[in-house]
Amino acid sequence: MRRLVVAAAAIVAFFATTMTPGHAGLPTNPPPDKIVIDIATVNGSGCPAGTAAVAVSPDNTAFTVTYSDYLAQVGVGSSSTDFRKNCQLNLAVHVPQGFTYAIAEADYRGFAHLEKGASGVEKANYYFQGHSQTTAISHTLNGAYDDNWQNTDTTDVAQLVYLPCGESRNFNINTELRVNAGTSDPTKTTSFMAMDSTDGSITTTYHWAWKTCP
Amino acid sequence: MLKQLTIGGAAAAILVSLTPATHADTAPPADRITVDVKTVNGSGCPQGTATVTELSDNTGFTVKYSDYVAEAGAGAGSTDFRKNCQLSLLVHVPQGFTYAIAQADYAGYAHLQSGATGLEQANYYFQGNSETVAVGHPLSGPYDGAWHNTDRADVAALVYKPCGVDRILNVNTELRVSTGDSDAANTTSYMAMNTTQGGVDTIYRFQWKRCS
Repeated sequence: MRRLVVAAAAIVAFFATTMTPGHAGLPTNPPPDKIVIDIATVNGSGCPAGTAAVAVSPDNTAFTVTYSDYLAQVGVGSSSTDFRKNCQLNLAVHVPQGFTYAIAEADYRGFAHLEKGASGVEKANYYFQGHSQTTAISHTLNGAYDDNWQNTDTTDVAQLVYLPCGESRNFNINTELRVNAGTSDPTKTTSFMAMDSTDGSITTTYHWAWKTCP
Repeated sequence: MLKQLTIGGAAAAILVSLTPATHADTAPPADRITVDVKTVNGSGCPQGTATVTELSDNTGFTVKYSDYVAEAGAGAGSTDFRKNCQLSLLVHVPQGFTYAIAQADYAGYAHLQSGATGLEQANYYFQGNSETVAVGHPLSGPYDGAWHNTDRADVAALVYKPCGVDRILNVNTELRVSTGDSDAANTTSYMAMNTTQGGVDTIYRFQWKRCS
């Protein structure tokens, strides 16, 4: 059995190596408040009512959404529109007075069975409500594949958060799964991609550098 | 703007820097580690199919499933060979220590044809953290009977946040069945999970890590 110590080791490694870089000349004391998030709505063809569950951390800096029916498929047993499913998370993000700098991270986990020649895509669109600008990140899996998958997107919130300090605005994460039969034989086989969970977090307690509101 | 992050490679190298707590503390803390089941959801445990019972002192819980079955072969749907059920657990680690052992027991029934295989696997990760640890228990057919698997984890190693901060631990279990060399056209193999039991025991005989 693998020991879970590996997980923590990597975490330390992550913060020690990736997050250590010092930004000389910036304020050393982090602001006392934090960016906090709440999930306002969860909806989409991949997460109809009653199929998604949300668990928010007690300090509102992280959340987990789990799905019971978020699966895109092609081939035997599939209907013509099943190749693409989506689920949009609408988050209320509160940025307190005093700073606008943080790191946001999203982790997507699931399972895929892709026949040889088939492919699957997990894609997430990130955007603030009312803004046309979206950022899309996609991850492709190629068959033959038959195992769990996991993707991580990270972003510098300072680049995303250009709303006035102290205000809240809804932030959307629109995820989608797509499966393409490609050169596989959809009359004899099935390829599918399922999402088990989406995790989001905003890390402001591990400060790299702080930007003060004017 | 956004970019992918790769963490994987760093894991093994830094094990040394994580090795917890060389300074032992004599007095154990008065408080306990507790666990609350926040959500239960997945393709193997859709809404209304799982019941949670928590111990009165919040040191453990039991989840019972009524419809957590993965199956393959005759009569099975093409995506039924893999089902999952994710538990989101709020693990409370009180100020002042910690060291403890977490244990999870998984039990169910399996009917696997000769040549078929089954897998019970639990994937553990902390919310907001990319690192996932998978612990799997394979079964080989022919098999027809109950199965029971136990995972034990060092919670101190899992707790990376500053002491006193509560964090959600996700335990994503899955069942997979493969028909393998069995006769998939005429026979069916399946694996079902009936219960998951989890617990956190605050163990005092190990070393303590004091919060700074």
